[in-house]
Amino acid sequence: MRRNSWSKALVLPFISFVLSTKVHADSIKELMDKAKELSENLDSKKIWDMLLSGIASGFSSLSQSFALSFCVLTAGVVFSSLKDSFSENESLFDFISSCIMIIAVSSPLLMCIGKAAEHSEAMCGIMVSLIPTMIALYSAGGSTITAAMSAAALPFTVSAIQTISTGLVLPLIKSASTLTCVNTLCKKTNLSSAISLIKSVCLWVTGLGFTLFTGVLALKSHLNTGADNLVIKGLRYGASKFIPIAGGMVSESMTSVITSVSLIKSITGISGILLIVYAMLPPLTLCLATKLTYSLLSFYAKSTCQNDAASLLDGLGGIINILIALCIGCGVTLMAVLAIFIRSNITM
Amino acid sequence: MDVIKLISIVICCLMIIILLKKVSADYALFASCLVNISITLFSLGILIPVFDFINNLSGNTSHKALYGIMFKSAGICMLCTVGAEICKDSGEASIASKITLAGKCTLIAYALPLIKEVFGYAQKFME
Repeated sequence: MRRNSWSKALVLPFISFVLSTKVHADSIKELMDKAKELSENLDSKKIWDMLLSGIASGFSSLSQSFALSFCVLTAGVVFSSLKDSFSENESLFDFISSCIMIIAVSSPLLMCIGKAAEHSEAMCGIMVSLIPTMIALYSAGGSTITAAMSAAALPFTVSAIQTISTGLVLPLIKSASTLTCVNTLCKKTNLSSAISLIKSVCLWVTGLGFTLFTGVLALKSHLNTGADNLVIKGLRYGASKFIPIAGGMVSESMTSVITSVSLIKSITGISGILLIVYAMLPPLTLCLATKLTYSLLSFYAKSTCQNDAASLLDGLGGIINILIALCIGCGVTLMAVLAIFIRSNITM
Repeated sequence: MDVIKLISIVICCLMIIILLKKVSADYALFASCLVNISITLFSLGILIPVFDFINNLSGNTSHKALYGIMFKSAGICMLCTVGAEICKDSGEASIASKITLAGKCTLIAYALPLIKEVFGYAQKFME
């Protein structure tokens, strides 16, 4: 009975969040149907299919941009053999080609930045919606000190994450994107060092911030107690190797992540996990699809000796990596917060 | 085969121009200009299927107009170069430089919608 009530307490803010936002699904019904359908017959193939269909929809939204970029690069190959006939107008022609390339690749990047911003705001929204319920439950259970501590610590953590993601990292990412475009257009200016500096700051802030917050949250609620060491080692190695940038962060807090997942699963069932995964998937799959598109185009540009286009695509690809890190960081922190919420209520 | 025909015709024209130079230098110059323009048009005609192919690659994308600007710019670059070279052959270097200038101005005017769009994206990034 008690488990049931906590389950409701957890799911209700979730549903209120989903009702209040139309970011990740057209309607609440679609979201719930998806979670229900997956939870009814869950296997690894279903999750894999879900990821693949997400990436496929990401690719379909990028198809126009990809087609235009591909055509510009192909035309660049053709015109590179005719450039002797352009004589003094060659630099202007290169400028026009660069402009078209920037227009072609900027719209998917803007889409990714928008999705990542909405995602981080939505994740913070879920965390904020949990805080009053958690404090009320602590107070009702007689743990007034814990309630007071949580009332101070959790809003600070959430606002800090919100500040890091939407107030610091996203504006820096936008600046880096603009500077990358300017650097491609103006051949006489070299902004590479400024762009690298901004990217490094973003990486440091994202990595360090989320690792610290997840670590602090884990420490606060003793989340590191219930996971198998061998599983953790394997997952930690996999995360650090295969997830760009955020891999190190996820790897360091792998114990907390696994314990958080198992705690959420034990209370809400697989639907809770699926809802989090389903909320995380749209921005992640879009970013992954964009990253893949940029990598393919960059490979094509490099193989046809179009170094300017290749450096533009590589630069924007690096920015997408930071966005992926941001999305994963927000998701991991949400899992930790949810797990604290559940664990604190179980031990009460 | 086209190239062989072209080279044969050009060699014939060259012989006629050399002969014309002995009769009248002015007529030789006119003939030279005519041959220059004809070769350029012929060469661009050969490239039409290539341009069509690349143009069809873009399908029905919303940015097709922007893509067309690239082709028009390439055409302007080529025409300006041909015009400037004809002027240089005629000993009119200053007119040649003005043709190049006109080409640059036309290219900048063509690039204006692109520059506007790039600025628009920069504004969206900085919002």
